[in-house]
Amino acid sequence: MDELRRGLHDLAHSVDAPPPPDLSTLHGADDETPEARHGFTRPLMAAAAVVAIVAAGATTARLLDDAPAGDPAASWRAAGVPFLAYDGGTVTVRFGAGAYAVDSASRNADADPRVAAVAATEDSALAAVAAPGQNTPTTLVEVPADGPAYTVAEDAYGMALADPRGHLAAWTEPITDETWRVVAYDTDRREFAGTLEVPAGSSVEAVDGRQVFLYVEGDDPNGVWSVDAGPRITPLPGEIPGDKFVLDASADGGYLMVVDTGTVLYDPSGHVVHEFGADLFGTFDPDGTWVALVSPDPADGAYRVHEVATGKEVGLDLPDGVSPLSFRWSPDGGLVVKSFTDSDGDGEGTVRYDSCAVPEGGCAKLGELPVEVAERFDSSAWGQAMLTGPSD
Amino acid sequence: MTVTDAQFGDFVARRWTALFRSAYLLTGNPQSAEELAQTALVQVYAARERIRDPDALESYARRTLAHEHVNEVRRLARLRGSPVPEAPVEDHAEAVASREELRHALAALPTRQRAIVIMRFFDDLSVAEVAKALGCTTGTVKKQTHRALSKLQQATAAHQPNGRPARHG
Repeated sequence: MDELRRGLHDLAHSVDAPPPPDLSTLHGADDETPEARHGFTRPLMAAAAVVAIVAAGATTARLLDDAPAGDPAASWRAAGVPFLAYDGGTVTVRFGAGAYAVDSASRNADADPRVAAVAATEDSALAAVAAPGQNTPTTLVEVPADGPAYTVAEDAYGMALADPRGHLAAWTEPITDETWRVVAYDTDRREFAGTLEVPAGSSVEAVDGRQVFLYVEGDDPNGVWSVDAGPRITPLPGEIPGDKFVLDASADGGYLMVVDTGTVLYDPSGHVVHEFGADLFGTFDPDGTWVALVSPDPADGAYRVHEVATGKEVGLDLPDGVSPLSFRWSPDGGLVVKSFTDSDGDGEGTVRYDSCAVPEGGCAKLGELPVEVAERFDSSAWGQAMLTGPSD
Repeated sequence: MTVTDAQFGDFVARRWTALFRSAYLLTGNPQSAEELAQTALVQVYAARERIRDPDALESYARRTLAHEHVNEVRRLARLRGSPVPEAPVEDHAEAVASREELRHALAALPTRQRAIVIMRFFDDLSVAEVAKALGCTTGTVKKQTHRALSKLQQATAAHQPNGRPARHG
């Protein structure tokens, strides 16, 4: 680390700093008179205007009574994946059989809420609605097909995760400055499955079967919470180093995928099965037979799909120029690929969704969204949460 | 008690150069660094009544700097219609000095990872302070730090300009 520190200081001192800005007129900015701002440098003026707009902005969200006709999410639901749809022109999102409308005064992606589908079953969807800005809580809303939507949690932090079959979702909620709780929610029964107190700053890393894999603040950070066994954390199996973190677990916590300097696959006893040799984020299919990995760097587009037991790699028949951003397995074992594509190279690309068969590799296009809309449903490098709110 | 204009002015006079340098590491070029530092100062000034303690201006300003940078890169990416919000990377063949190598390696990091590295190892903020600044958990900061350091190591050791894994499949 010392070498890095020295390098950063050397680099930072390699340029001369300009003189400090003239702040004389900034001191009068509160009275909102143009005269008071005269003399600002251009960036300062622009930034001051942004401050004023953000401060004046207002955002509301409301649930719709029923979904509009011609739900474009139907084809995505057929793939068993809880995608959101966008009807263009307005910030209205729809998913499952219900609808959730987000109204914003600004029409500014920095100010509009972000909406994520966390999990879906045949008759309901669990959605996360996050206010704009950093470090803001997420509201989790259950939208059943046969009744009105209702709020499940109003103060969820971090990313709520669900397993590929969608029966258990988990997230964290603050209790005090020192203590948070992990909440497990059964999306099939639509009821809470349990809670567990953890140190503040802990996070949910993966959810599979009835197990929640956690990063727990402290000396021994990686642990597993078996929801049906009560509120206690057990260590990861075998020789998995404590300072690594879990990307995903196969069904019922068999195989574990862990990030070291590269991504490593461990068997249930904690022995290394495969080292992928690259820093890729991966997710198991619901049966634990296949693993799909994608680069966390959206500029990269690198991806791989492997058979867990043999390491055999299969390809996906995606069109040229399509760069995968994230993967999600549908409950029936299909692989849904979210990609960026800019087929004509004009920089006005779109985000498209394909459903691919594994191991055959054939892919069929599901749909496409403008980038500015897809961004509202942030791509997650964590395969299980393909659509998320603000996150790391 | 709030931070007075005089206290704010004194803070800017004393710490402008340091803030500019942090901004330079984040943006990779002096002009953008100046604009970023100025933008951050406006934000800090607007929040001075909440900050209250003049001694807290420094950490608040550094957090704002990183936060603003991440937001700005995302905003520019949207304007370009591209979900690839990364700083430009020049031809690495021209980078022969270790300083240039580090600059290239930093530029190749994802925006948030770059901010975390600079806040942790240049600004010397704690993991908790970085987490608070970026609105994420300390676990996330640790993970992203780990990942960023791995990439920096790969990029500088293997002379690969972007530090990214090879494309497969």
